[in-house]
Amino acid sequence: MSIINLSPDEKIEITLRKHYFVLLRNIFGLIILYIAPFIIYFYFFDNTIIAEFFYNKIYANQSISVTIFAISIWTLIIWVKLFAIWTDYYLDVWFITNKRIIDIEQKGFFRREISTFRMERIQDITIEIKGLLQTFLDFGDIHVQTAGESQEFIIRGIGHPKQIKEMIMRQSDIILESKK
Amino acid sequence: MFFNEVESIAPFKSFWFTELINNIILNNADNVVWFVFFVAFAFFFIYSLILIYHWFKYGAGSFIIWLAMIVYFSISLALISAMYFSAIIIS
Repeated sequence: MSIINLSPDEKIEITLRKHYFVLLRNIFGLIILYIAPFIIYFYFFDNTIIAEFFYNKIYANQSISVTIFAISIWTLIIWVKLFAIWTDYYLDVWFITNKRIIDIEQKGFFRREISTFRMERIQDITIEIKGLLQTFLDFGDIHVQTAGESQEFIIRGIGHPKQIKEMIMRQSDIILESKK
Repeated sequence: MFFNEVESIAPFKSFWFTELINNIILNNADNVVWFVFFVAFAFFFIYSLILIYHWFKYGAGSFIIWLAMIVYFSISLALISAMYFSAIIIS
């Protein structure tokens, strides 16, 4: 894999991304933003305002073209923004290998953080599932306590946190036993 | 009671700045349409370049990235075409 460099005896056990609900939650705001102008237009304005804006040049027969023009532009802007959100979501990824946890976080377009935590440094793992939706959709945060300066890192909005926790603990135990 | 939309926006015309903008738009409707079109296209073009860069650099050329690209550019092309042809009809 080109994103990360693995040592020869290292293999990826699982690749994790945030739960799809996290993506839907981010997109929801965008959907509200998209439909807001239509609601404002249909409830508070009328075609004549736009026609007045462009005077007699664009009126009657051409008002459909103006509407299509405006809707196309607005949809294109929202469409591009939608893919920006998806890209941000897709590029946030965690790799759990047999030796370490690799945390890659894309923060906007021009900030990317890559953290690595060795399995033998893991001391404790806590999962946090808050609220009705997280309980029913089975996703939440995993808090991993590590030895050293950076004491805790959090895997946020991950699906099936209990199973992931068990997997990390199992890998950590294997590493610790092999070092005895 | 009858609501007159033209009258409702009339108070704004009393401001010299809005009046100035109004006059510019009224006298240059064609140019305004094409200006808006090119601004929107420039926004799309720059954003798309950034997206493609991230998809190829960090997406590792996976199937889902290619699928996203196909969907993204197909719909974008349709929207830009709609923008372009409606701009032609308007001007």
